Amino acid sequence: MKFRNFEELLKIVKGRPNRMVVPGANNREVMEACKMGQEYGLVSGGVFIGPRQPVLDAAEKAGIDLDKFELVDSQDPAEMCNLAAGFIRQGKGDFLLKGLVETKFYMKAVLNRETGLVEHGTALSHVVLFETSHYHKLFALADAAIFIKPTLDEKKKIIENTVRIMRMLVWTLPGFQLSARLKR
Amino acid sequence: MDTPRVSVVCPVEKVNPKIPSTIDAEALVRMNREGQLADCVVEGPYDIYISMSKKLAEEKA
Repeated sequence: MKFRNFEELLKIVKGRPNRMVVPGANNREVMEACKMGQEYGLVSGGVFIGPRQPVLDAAEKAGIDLDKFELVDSQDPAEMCNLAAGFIRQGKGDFLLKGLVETKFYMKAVLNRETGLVEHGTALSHVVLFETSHYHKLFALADAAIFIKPTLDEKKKIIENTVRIMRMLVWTLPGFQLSARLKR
Repeated sequence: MDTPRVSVVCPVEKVNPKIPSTIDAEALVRMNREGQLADCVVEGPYDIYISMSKKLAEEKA
């Protein structure tokens, strides 16, 4: 189902099953984000991965309803990230949220050829969707986080990824411009 | 379903061999026209202002 603005998006997703997988869940900010997600009806449950007691403590402090979450004990960040990617592949979760793990372990797990989440021949890219009073519709900007100096082929893949997202998610009236892409 | 419009944003609108992003922009537009980059309309090189403002785009033209 498509949306024209974020208010519509919220109405569409609220209350739907949406399970998050969090490597490094022993972190206050991440747990507060989970709590907010639960309150908005955006997070239905999922898996917390990390050292058991610190994760429980962080969950308790944030007031999270642990009923809906599975807790997986791990002390090693690389292992946490590999487990997280694995859970997504197995269908135990719907999206990843990076917790208290270094980005390098997180990205390595996501990009792993055999056990990762990026289809062979495609590239992972970043997209931001904007809603602003200064423009008459939603627009996208890509890529602002992954590629420092993309090659021509990588730019093509960034466009393809972004177009696919926009076609799936964003509703427009005929004659409107839909998206913009920023290149460095 | 409307076709997504993609603006390839560069510092200038003219293709300049000294500005590699403009060379890539030209190539991406060509790929789009030849069907290698499908399901969208790719234009550029454009600067960010004319990508986002009809008024500025008309003024510049």
